Amino acid sequence: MIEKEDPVISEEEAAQYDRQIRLWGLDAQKRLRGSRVLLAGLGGLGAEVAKNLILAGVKGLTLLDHEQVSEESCRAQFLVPVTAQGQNRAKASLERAQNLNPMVKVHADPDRIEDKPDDFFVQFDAVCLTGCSRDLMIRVDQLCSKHNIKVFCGDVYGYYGYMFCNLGQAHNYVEEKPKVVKPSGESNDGPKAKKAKVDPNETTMVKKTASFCTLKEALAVDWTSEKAKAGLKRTPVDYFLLQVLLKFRTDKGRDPDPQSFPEDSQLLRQIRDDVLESLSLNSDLLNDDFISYCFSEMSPVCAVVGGVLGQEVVKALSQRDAPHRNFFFFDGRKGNGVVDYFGPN
Amino acid sequence: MADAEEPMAVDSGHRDGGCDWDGRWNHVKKFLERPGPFTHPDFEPSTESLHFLLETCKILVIGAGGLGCELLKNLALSGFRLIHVVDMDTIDPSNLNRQFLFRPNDVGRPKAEVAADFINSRVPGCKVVPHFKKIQDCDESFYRQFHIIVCGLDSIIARRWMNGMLISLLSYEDGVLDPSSIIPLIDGGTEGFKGNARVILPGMTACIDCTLELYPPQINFPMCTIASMPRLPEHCIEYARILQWPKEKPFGETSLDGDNPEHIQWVFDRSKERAAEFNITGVTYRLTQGEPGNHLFSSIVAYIPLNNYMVFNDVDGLYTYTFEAERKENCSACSQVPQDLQFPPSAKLQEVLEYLTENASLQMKSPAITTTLEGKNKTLYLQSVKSIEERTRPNLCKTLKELGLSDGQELAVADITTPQTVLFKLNFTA
Repeated sequence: MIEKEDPVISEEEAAQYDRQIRLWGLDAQKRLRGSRVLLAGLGGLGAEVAKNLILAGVKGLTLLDHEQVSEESCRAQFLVPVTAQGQNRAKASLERAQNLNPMVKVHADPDRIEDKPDDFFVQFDAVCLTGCSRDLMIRVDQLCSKHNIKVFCGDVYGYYGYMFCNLGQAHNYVEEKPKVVKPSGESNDGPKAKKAKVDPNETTMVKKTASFCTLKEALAVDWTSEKAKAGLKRTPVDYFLLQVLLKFRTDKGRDPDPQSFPEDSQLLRQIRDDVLESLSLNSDLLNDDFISYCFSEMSPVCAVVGGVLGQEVVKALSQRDAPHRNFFFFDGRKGNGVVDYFGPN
Repeated sequence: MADAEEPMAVDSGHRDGGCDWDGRWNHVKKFLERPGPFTHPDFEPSTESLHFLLETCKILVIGAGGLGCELLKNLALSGFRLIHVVDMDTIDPSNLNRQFLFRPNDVGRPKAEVAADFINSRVPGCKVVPHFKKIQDCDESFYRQFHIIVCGLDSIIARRWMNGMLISLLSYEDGVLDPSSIIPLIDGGTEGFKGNARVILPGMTACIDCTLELYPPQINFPMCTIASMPRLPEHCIEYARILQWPKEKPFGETSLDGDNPEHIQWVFDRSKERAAEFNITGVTYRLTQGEPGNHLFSSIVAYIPLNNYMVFNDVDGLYTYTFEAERKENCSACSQVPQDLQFPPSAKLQEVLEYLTENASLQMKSPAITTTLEGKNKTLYLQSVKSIEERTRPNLCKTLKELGLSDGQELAVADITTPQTVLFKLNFTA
């Protein structure tokens, strides 16, 4: 439950958050500053999300990561100092993360997310999972849905990245729309006067609701039905790429590694064939190109996906503006981003 | 809040130079050292590309604000080492919500310097050189030293100036462009929830001015309209901003700060009074104020796209569109073709001035028009110097014929949107 913080915003906050308050309003900022967020995984993408949420001014952000800082961590991740090799990744990221905005309570937790009991997650208003296995994400998503906690998942694989969100079955939000000036009743003004005019200078807040499915449902779409097959042409191939990469992560316990390029490429090709076959789809739906471009986390791609993911968390917590429903895919090779819905209709 | 500064990492046990640990650049090598089905036909994979990137490539970042901070981070992490950054601004508390290389106790210090310090003390081997100055204060020889220039500017005028500067560095031999004189310009911009990024190869691909019509018309009106014949709410706001503020000095000697709510309120109140006098509706606080910056957007636009213009709009759902902007044949900046001005001899100079400012492809701000008459240089109209403006103002009401201009006359126009004067050829219509 987002706490109703001290309703009066301090002068320091007003000065620092001025530019964003102009965009999304004071009410939204107040909700943000009452929100507690859990961020799992402090790789390249995690660092970008951490930066964005801390700068936005949430109440608290917990950085959860059991991994150790490796030489790879120092590439796409700017919160970890180069001297921190061997340290816990969350703890090593803490100082710089906190310095981004002293007004946010940033906390580092070195535990394995798999070992966390259910009631650990309940203290948060939103949970953001990066670098997590498919099964874990499904479990956490299911658990959080029950408690009305907003769930976000995201990863970056080389040039590719995605973001998923489940904001619950009835996520309420407001949108600012231009005010529609109702026409006057005078019929002798002619037909033009009867048309409702939009006044661009005056706006009004409109309440809306959106419903989301679980991650399990989103990943378990049945492609054998006639309807699904017909929709395949308009379906971003990125969705299937995601399934392949999640399977790789489950099978190998890690992501594709440049140090094992030949073996991992071979395995990716195999998994692509297996995944598409299991979905009763043609293996040429996803051709071989992706293989050499999905290794490592490219820092600019982390910036893009982290930007969108951060913005979605802000929107969901502040209950302002329409959320992306329910996936965002980014293809860094083409510079293309796409939002699409996957799940039961 | 003291920030612990780690010393530059010097790894013992590694090769000479000492900043690179094993496998540091493996990820970058992956795409520089192997071909792929989508690489450019001229791209040759080699171990030399990484070497160039690390050791030789000199890159200039213009602006150390919202985009600039994100850009510096991405470039430093990608392996660029020789980076210069130019910014004329100092740090304000309102920057801290997105310009994350700055801390509260940096407020008041030059952005370029603080950004450079931050990166230099945290990324081993990276050398960022700051320049606390305006882009117009740097000359040709400064810009010539860079292999690539990336802009995170906050005004269209500045972009056009930069665009014009790089075009002026191009060299042609027998009408053929020398490719080694091309400095690629990567330009990005954000406003609220919207942004765009584009790649410009001056002289080869569409430049800023080629697609000037894509920019919404800027508030920019001839002085006489503002002073005596307002029609739009924007004219009233400009009156308050340009004429009343310097005259009434409501906050003493301080210049108008577009981000100070008290200043904006004053301008808004005066604008409303003016609008009431002329029966003009539509003056709102929002119109007076303009749109702010958003950090989440900057991090997206800081990513460099390929070919060649990417639009990002997150206002309603998400819209991204990448397309190839085309060069304009008679672009006033990069086409090398003298610009055509078609007017009857009975047209007043005022009309020419309005054309230069209001035409979507030109969008000049306060053009100064000069020409050569009877072998002597004559200023027809110049706005930026008060005494000359007063002296030449009567010319606005004179016809082109009365001013002694003839068919085919060349007019040289200077403006803050370009470092070089633009030549126009006057073609009399019937």
